[in-house]
Amino acid sequence: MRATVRLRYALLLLIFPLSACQTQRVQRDNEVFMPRVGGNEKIVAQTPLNELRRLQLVSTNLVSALVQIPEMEVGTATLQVSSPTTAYGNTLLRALEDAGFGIQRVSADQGLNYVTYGKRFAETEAGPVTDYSISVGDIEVKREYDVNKRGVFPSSLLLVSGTRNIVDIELDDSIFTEQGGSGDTFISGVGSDSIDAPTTDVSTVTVNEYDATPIAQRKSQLGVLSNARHRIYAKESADNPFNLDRYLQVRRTVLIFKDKKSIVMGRGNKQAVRLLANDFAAGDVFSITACTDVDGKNDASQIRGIRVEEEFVSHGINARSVQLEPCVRASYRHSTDNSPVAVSVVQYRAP
Amino acid sequence: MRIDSTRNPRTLKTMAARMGLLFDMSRRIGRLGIIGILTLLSGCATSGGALNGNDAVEPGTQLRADMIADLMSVLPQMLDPLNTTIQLSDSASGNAAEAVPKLVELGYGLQYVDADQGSNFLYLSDLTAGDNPNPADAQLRLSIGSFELSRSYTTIQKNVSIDESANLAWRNGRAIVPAGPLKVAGTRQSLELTGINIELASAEGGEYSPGSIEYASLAPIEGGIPTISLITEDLVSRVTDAASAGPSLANLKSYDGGFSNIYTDNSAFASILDDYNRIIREFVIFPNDSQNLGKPGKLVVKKVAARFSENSDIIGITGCSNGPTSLAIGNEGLALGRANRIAEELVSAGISRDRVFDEGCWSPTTDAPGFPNRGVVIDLYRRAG
Repeated sequence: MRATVRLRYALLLLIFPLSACQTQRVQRDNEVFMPRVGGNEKIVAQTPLNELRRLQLVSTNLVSALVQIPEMEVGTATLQVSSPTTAYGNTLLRALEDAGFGIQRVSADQGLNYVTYGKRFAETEAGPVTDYSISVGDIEVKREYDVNKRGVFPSSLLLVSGTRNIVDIELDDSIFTEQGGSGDTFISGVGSDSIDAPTTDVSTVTVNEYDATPIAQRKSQLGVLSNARHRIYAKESADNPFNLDRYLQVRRTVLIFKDKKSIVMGRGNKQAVRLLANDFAAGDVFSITACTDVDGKNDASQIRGIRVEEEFVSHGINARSVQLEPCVRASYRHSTDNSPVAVSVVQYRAP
Repeated sequence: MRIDSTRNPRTLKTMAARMGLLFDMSRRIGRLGIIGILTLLSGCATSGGALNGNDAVEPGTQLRADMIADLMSVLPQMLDPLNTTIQLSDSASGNAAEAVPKLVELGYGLQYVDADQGSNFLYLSDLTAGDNPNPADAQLRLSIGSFELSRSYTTIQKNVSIDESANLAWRNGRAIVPAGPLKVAGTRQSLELTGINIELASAEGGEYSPGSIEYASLAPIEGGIPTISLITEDLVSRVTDAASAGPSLANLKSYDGGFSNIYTDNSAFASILDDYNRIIREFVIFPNDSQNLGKPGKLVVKKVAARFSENSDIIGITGCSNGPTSLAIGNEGLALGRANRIAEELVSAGISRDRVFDEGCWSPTTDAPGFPNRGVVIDLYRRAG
């Protein structure tokens, strides 16, 4: 009997370490929750994975609203930050990096765009409330969230202060529904504490069981924030188009992208944009035509157009002076055609 | 018939023997199990150890980081860290991970982008990668915006011939030493070498000289720069008029394919010059039907380059060829070639190409007012105010 017991113990002992090794292989990747530079590895390692995922969603939500505030000038703005000392600080800085802000490490609170943030817990007449906030200069974005066994869900409007430009902010609250739910609802929309704030659209979102999405297939933080950044460029051109008939054409160039999926401009195209930007005068407008598809619709080409607009903006040219043109029905391109694609840029000058 | 095995003495003996064997086996298996556990645990520990090993910076990586740090040491003199954000991307910046700690240390803002966005986008190229016969040698080129820094390095072992004042960083008895001057392109700004203060005096090695800076031209861009065409209606009509009187092209720069003939047109970049005052005007005279600059010509270009101020100046070049020529390219080709030759020389002297504007004047007769018949006019303009 003792022998059999020993045998069983021996087998069990053999199996345990094997399972331990197996577990180690599916280790979590802390790096996705940390800023690329200067993260606090220890704090992130000590924080449970579920908590990190929740904080990542909260950070994505707040920062996606922040990038759509025109005053933030995402793409050209550099934010000053201190080294994070909390898990929320880490996920928030990563979200700011992924959104396309320049990040400058400072030893104290130097800089016009110094970033402050906080997580506050309060016991109120409505029950316990946890709110998260981020502030840059005078602009603050904050929202209350509930945590349940499914995950984290907003429990208030996203409140923005320090700007009146809140009407055009679109929230991608589907990042919360992907966690799944049992028919619960949460409120979605942007608001302001200010009494003279403009009216905004508010809706409710229901989270169902079937909304639950495997983690690997959920929307990435980078994707959500890139879309938010692109939205602000595209919207500006669509909402305030210039009547270029009154302008004179000054210069024209055609930038060539390697293929239809590429948004890498390359050194030659970048140099051409630099030359055009050097000769920019107040009142000039750069018109970008990226889409020449005969069916008049091509989202991928608009992303290339936005890419060129970003390049002009990085040279200090206001996004309002760069106009993304709608598709011109000029050519037919088969869906399998992956040859180089052109983006035309015309510089207009007021007479 | 059922045999009660426990009561049969033979069976009992056999059983005892079997039990003994089983006990012995189980002890062996137990031992094997413990050995197995230890082996597996050590295996797990080894993999953990390997991870820790990866965390520690490898000597080769440290040496490469030292090269990048040396390249970037002059960067704060070119771009103010407090007001500059540098863009990086995992896919388009090259193997630039070692540059990040140095950029942070220098105080630059960093912006991670998904393609190659940004006016200060960083490219790091290893020019010796692939066909490097000596892995101890490397040549790196760092581009940020319109600036380029490049330098060759070699790895040396610690030895007595190294001057004690040399500020080399020794990594396990090895260090990198520049094998030539720090080449700076895209600027003529006066820079002070703040990185490694020695360099190899000759390719053979062994002797060292003080570190130096050399101004060079920007690396050629693969595929070239897209043509920027002038399309002002007014200009188009003038070019059309001029074309009826003789050959003429309108464009901004000669390397874009052509430029205006100011014998018949106004300057193509007149609008750019609105806010500038001319500081100096120099002439370079070329031999008949020649684009060779010669020593006197090079001296004139050096003189202009020496007075060039990075932040406020632009240079206008007007290449001229007036009068009869026997060359097949004609006066137009000769004028363009001469202007381009001067532009090349200025770029080689470290002046950014986008600060040099060239155009031409050509005619079959020698009556171009204010312009030489076979020379180039170089104007240095400075921003007013």
